[in-house]
Amino acid sequence: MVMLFPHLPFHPDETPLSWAARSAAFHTGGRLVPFLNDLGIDLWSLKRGEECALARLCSISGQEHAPVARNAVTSLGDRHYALRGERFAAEFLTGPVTRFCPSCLEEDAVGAARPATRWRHRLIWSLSVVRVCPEHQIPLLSHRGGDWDDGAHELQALPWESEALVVGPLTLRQPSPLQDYVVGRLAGASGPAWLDGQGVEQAVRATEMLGAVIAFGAGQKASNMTESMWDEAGRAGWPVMSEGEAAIRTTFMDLLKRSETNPGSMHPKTSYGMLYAWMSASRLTKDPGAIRPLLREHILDTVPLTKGQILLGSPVEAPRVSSVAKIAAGELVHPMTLRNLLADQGAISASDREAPCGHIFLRYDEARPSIRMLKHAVPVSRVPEFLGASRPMVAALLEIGALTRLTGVEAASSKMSKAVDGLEMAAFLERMQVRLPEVAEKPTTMATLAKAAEKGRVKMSVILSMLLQGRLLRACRLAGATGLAAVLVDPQEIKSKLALPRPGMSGELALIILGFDPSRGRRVFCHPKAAPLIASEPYGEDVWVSPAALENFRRKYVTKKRLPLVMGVRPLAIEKLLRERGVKPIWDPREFGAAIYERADLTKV
Amino acid sequence: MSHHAQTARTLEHLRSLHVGSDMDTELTGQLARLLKPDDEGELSPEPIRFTRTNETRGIMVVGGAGSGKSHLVHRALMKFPVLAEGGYGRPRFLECSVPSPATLKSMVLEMLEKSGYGTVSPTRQVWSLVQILRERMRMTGTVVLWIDEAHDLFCADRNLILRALKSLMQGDDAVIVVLSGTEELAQVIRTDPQLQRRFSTVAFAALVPELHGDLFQQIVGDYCQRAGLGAPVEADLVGRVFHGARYRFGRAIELIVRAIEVALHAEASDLTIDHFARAWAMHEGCSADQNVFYVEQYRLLRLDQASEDAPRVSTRRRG
Repeated sequence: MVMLFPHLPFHPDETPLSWAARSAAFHTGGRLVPFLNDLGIDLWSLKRGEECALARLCSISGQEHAPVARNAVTSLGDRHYALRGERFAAEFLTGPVTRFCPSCLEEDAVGAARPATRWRHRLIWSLSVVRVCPEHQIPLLSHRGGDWDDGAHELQALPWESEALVVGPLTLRQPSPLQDYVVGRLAGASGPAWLDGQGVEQAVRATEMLGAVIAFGAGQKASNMTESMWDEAGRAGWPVMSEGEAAIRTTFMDLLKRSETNPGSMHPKTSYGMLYAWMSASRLTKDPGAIRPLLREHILDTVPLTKGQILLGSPVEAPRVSSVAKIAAGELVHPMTLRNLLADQGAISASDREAPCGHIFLRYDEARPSIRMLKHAVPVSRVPEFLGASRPMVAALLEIGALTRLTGVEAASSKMSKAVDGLEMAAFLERMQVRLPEVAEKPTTMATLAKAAEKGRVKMSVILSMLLQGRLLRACRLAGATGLAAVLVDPQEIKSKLALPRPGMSGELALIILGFDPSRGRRVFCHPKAAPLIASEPYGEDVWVSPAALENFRRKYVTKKRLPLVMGVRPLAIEKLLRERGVKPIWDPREFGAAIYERADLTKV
Repeated sequence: MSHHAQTARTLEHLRSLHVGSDMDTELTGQLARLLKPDDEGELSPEPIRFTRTNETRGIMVVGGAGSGKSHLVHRALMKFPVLAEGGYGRPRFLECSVPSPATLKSMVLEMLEKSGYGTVSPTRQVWSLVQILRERMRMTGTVVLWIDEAHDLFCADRNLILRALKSLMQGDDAVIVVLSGTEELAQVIRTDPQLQRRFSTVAFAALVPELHGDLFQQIVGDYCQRAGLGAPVEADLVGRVFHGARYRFGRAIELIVRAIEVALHAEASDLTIDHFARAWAMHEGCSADQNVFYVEQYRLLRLDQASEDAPRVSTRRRG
């Protein structure tokens, strides 16, 4: 092969195309394309950095191949390129726009008879993130001729004669740190670890997008951004992105706070603007990198979402924060019913009862028990059917607490008070099934629950509580029947159990022993606001108190009447001591009728 | 060193010798006349412009086949330091011979290749090739364009080629054109008054025994001494050499070197006329009775009888 003479060496900062264009001007005084045609090299092969084109250009020019290949942006097909081990899409490059620094070109041409042979199109000028000349610190100029070969970035072909390239005095500005990072990274330097861990294009895109939201607000559209705005965005995003995940999360939080002052619905787009729009685009061909899971995680944590909603590319399986309306929609329950239940359960404040469901936000996890209840709610009127029981039996079950209403009787205005938890009911039936042995035929001594109550003249609730406590050892289940209708008990056994002295005493007796008022004193067994002071079991209409429970009470508490006995001091002196030390009874004595002190408090006395 | 190697070295040495003549001074004088002197009177690598249109002038070196034109021109060009050393380590003159077939395009392509631009798209137009050539000559600082065997140029594209040569001698980056060729070249150039005006002629005269005899006697003696042989004694040897070499300077020298080669290979101590005869016979392929060194009346031998008897080609231009 005939080598070109004289040798025009490749410069390590230029692109192979720039070198070819300089060679064309040098050897033929003409343009790039006819020169490449002479050499039998296809312009676009060279543009795509194809090995054969580079090798031919190098061997004809007598140039060492390695430095040229190092500066070649290689096409990987499908608008993707690679340079020095970094991969990126076409948008990372300037495409048909030729960027250049007039001062650099001026310096190139100093002392040259033919400037065209010296003008080098620097490799970094072909990166879209490079917008300021690092040497002269002036903004790079851009030119797009609209010709078919704009992509060759041939400086020699720019309309130098016309007015198009004439610019006023350029204002000095520093290259953005993002630009410095990219240039350094391509040169082999390492930067912030979090950015180095992802693709260079991902790092740039994420920084610019985040920076744009920081600098221009969430209302700014990416399509309306000018090059200088992108530069500004890169500068704004850099301090956050270079610090890594923690700083980015903090920034997300700031952006959220900033948008909360704006009226309007809580949509992530109102907080994160183009950053969110970019990453949630349906035609997203490029992986946005590590910022997407970060933002998704953050949105999940802070923004109300609907279950199943597509968030940044994948559906939300378990929203963490949501409005009552959205939870109801996702869970297929009525929003108002849910709202009332949530208020009853204390998941939302009672004042929210009047607020629109879309305006009440809460963490999804807090709503979950209520949702579960609501989904499995069974109306009380249907319970007999489910349990195979009569209505009095259901009433008795509710009375002894074997079944619970979804909400207290106080809130009976809502439907829920007329419903019970279905799961609890299923568990109840299950327990029966396991505990009671099955018999094929009804033994003659046994009777159904209703019959047993009638025969023994015992209240149904008493039988049921005995049954549930497992005290009726002979109880069994008739095959072929369901629920409580199948349960058979022995009336004799019930009778004997009731007659048999049990350790302990009835509640009434316990109150007398303790010296409490028989009616008001019942609070010690069942208090609407606090745990009972004395553990008890249902016993007909009354409760049954075991000796252990009474002993337990005595160990922890002492009544005022017993204080002189316990402390060995006269009652008046005790009165004084208590007043001086500020020891108060646990309940208001005027309301309760007696003063109960905790023993722990009395140690001070 | 073996005998053969010694012989080869000796011959190599003899072939590289230059025999100075009046032609050297004439050509260098002509060339110096066309180069611009700088402020200190030294010649600069820039041609003198003769008219208002910045035209340069050229030199036509005319001589018969084998008269030593190429050697003479190359030596004359290399004698000028400003021409011998160019900006990129190559001489400032572009030497090329005429390709075959000689069209304008092939000619320009040949010149481009010689200038270091060897691969050219076949679809390039000639005008663009000429443009590149001019650009390259300007870029490499070429001052002289020398076309050897220029008589071969003049074929179908003759007018185009002449015009192209003319244009190369005009403009800001005009060059000095040196054409070397046979008498045919001089005839063609004469037909074009515009070209004729631009070219001065250096013509090789035929050897004349009376004028050049003594010189050649000396040359033979000198060459024999360098080869370690005794000089031949025959008195009419130079005349026979001249006749055998068709009275051409270059061919005569070449014949002497060939005779020395024969003598060296025969390991003779003296160079004799027999060596000349054998050398000549080897080259011409003639019988002994036609050998210019054996025949008594060598001047009567018509050496190129066949071509002279052939019907002459019409010199009239076709078309």
